[in-house]
This record gives sequence, C-alpha cells and structure tokens, in this order.
Amino acid sequence: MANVETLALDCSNKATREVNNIIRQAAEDGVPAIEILNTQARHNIGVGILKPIHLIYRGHVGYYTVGLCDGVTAEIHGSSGWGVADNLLNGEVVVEGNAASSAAPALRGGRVIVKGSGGPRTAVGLKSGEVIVGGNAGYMSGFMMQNGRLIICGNAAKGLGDSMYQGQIWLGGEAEEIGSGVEQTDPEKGELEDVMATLERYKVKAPKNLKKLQSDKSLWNFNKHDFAAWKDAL
Amino acid sequence: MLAGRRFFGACSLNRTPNYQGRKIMCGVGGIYFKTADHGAKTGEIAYRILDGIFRRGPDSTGVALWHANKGDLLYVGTNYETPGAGTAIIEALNRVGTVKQATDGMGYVRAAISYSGSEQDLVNTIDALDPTITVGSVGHHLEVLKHMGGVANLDDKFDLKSYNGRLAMGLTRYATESNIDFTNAQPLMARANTDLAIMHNGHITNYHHLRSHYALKGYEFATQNDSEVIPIMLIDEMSEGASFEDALHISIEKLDGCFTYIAVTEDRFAVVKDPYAAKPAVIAETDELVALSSDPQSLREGVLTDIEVWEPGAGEVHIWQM
Repeated sequence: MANVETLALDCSNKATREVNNIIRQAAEDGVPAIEILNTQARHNIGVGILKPIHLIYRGHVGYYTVGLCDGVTAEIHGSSGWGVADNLLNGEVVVEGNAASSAAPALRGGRVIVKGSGGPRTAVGLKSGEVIVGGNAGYMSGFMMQNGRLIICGNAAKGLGDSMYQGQIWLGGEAEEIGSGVEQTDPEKGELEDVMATLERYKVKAPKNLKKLQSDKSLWNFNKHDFAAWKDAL
Repeated sequence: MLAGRRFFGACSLNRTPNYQGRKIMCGVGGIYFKTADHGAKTGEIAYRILDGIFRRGPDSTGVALWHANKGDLLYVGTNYETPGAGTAIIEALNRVGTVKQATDGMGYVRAAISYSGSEQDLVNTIDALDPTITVGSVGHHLEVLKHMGGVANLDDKFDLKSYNGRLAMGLTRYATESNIDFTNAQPLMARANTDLAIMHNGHITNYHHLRSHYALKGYEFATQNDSEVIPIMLIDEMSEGASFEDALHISIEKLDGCFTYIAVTEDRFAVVKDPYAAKPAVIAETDELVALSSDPQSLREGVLTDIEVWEPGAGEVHIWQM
C-alpha cells in the first residue's frame, strides 16, 4: 500500500462511533486506504464498513475489529481482542500478532490470517472463506464450522473441529484432542500444494507436515441407536 | 434479576450504577510488581485498570492489596449495613486489639490492628455486634477494600491511588445472584481464614450443592454470593493436603459454570480459567511486572504502554510466586 493515497486517522479523543463514521465516509468517497493510529486496544474500530477500503491498524486492537464488513482489507500491526473479523462477508484481514478468543467467527467469505496464535474457538461457525493461524489454536477451534478452510500451523487444543459439518481443517502440529464427528483423511490431488502456496503467499512459515481433517458425517443425521455419540458431542 | 436491598447511601457517590447501554458481566484485573523497588504507583495503575473495566461491573468495586508482614499487624475488613455502625466496629476492634489505622467507608470499615489472638475469635466478636455486621477479610499480608459503584468511589474513601506496594488485584462487580451490597462485593475471603482472596468473574451453577457440602463440613458462609464457595473450596482442599496449585486444578474439576478467577495468597497469585474459556482475561508480563485484566484496553490504559498481551486457554492455571 506504499504507493496509494493513505488517510491518517488518529483515534485519540474520538468516540468509537465517530471513528467508524469517518472510515465509512472515506470508503464511500473512494479513499483507498486509512492508517489508523493510537488504537489503544479499543473495541469495535472499523465495524460495519460495506465498501472496499484498506485499513492499516498501527497497534493492538480490541474486540470485533473489522466486524460485519464486506470487501474490506486490513492489516493489524499488533494483537487483536475477541472476535476479529466477525462475520466478514468478503475481504482480507491480517493480524500480525495473536488473536484472542473467537477469531474470525462465522466468517462468510474472504480470508483471515493470524500470524501468531489464535485463542479459544478460532474460526467458530466458519461458513466459508479461509482462516490461517501461524501458531497454535485454542480450545474448540473450528467448532461447528459449516464450510471453508481452517489452517493451523502449530498445535490445537481440545475439541478441534467439534461437530463440524463440512469444510477442511489442516493441522501442522498435534491436536490435544480431535472433536466429535471429525476424522483424518488423505488429501486429494493438489490440495496440499494449494495450502502450501497459500501459506507462502502470506509469508507464514509452513510446518513440515500437514494433516487434513474433515467431518466424518456421523453427526449429520440423528440416530437414536447411536445416542452415546450425540450425548458426548457438545 | 437485580432485585434486592440497595445500599443505603454510598451508591449516590460520583458514579451511580447505570446499566443502560453498558456491557455488564464483571471484570477482574490488577497489577503485580516483581520487585519492591518498582518506582511506580501501584494504586494508580490498579485504579486505571479497574476504571477501564467499570462498564463490565458498575455495582461495586473491590481490591486486594498486598503488604509486607508487620509482626502482629492484622488487616481487617468489615461490612455493615446499619447506618452508623462503623464507629461501633472501630471501638470493638480497639477493645480486642489496638487499632493502628481505621477508615469508615460508610458501609465498610478498613482497619489495621495490632492483634495476637485467634482470627476466629476476632470474627465472632465483631459479628456479634449487629446482625448486619460481617467481617469480610482478615490478613497479615492481604488487605481488602470495597465500595459501591466504580473505583472512583473506592479511591475517594480509601485513597487507593496512594498504595505503593507490590500487588493490587481487584474486581468490578455486576451482581446476578445476590444483593448489591458490601457483604456480597468482592474480593472475597473464606471466613476467618487469612490471606487468601479471590476475585471471580462468572457464575458457579452448582453453587448450592457445593455450599451444602461445605456447610456440612463445618465451613461458615458470610454471603449469598456464589463466588464465596471458591476460597472455601481452596481452603478445604489445602487443609486435606493439596498444594495451592493442586487445589486450583481441583477447583476446575469441581466448579460447574463459567469462570475466570484470580486467587491471591500471602506469597502467590494465580489466574484460573474454566474448561470452556468462556470468560475473558488477558495477561501482560515483563521483567518488571505482571498485569491482568478482563479487557486488553483497560490493561494498556493501566500500564500506559502498548504492551503485548496474551490470553490464557481453556482450563489453564497460571501461578506467579511473589
């Protein structure tokens, strides 16, 4: 973004609503990029932006950053609080640091890259698009994902992919426990290469090995004769 | 949900609880300096952190302060609801010991007394003054301060900002299960047990079962707050041989519900998260300090730097030796 016009926006002494209105208006006016300064881990900065714009956050951000957005691209030069890129319809969000609980929840499209580690419930309810975690992912990551691709380069905590319907999870390290209704499977032709190319594109160090996980479909339809499986599923 | 007795006066100070449009869910946070010569105002940092999570818990604010042992000096925190009872409490403390310092916070008496008797005798003596009086905390190292509303009220009454010791951990409370009053405000200690304070964000859904269990074992409960069962559980486990760390892990197994809690003792403090990581907490640690908060923004406002934070995972226990 070095060669495009960039608007500087200092969050100091501005209410959250004011900051969001400025970003929204800039997107409406066709401003290509905004550099957001003094974020101070504040919540809800850059929410509800529905026109394309590039957001550069200089510092840590709080909850729901780039939430409810469509077509927005963002780079966060710090760590994020809960629910970064919540319900993103399309776009791209890169978190250079760690992401707290529920990163990229219910993502409907686009791509979220967390270069550090993700907290509990990373990519919970993933509906489409892609979530990449360079480090480890917390408890119940990929819980009830319905589609899309979750790539975790490090280790995963308990309940990985629990009750997932469809989609893929790629795991570089070890899972403390695989969730209910999840199985390891062999990659199809070209899938692994595509994952590796994606990691390279975002300069995320690829692990030596990657396992592919998917739904075993055991929870797709209720079967009263297999009640124990449902009882154990969260 | 919020029905119950309202405290008779102090709610009108500075910040009146106002739930409209606020995110309410309790907040925990505080600061610990690894060395005594830290050169910073611990109380001011704790003030900013707790102020930053005021919106999570506007009902009351409390803080546990750590002090170096000063022989027979005992820090006693006493809750009362009868107007004017503070004077009687201070007089009674002067009869059982020698009051070195006392502040009547209009609902809560903060006192430091020279006392060499048993803590249980002291609690029994003070509690007998009036049915609304309960000793909430006793400690040779830990002193608990509490007030209704935000941390501004706490500072008005007890000059929190002047505290310059090594540890100040607190809680902003949003009451869901018991009255909004001093007795049910946190931090909480187990009755007559010294130097173990907890600050709990969340709810304990098997509280009544656990309370009955510990009451049958002889433990006395002073509040209707579900959080009180946590220090009692820790005391009970340790009395049966568990280490502090083991007791914290056992609490994760035995407590049902969502919780993040901070436990502080005379020489350690810990952060404990439930198996679902349902309640937030972020931690920042440097060579000089450890800072905690439910909210990363409040933590950074507290230490006044854009410090790197991390979030403990589900079912994790993190302990620091002081």
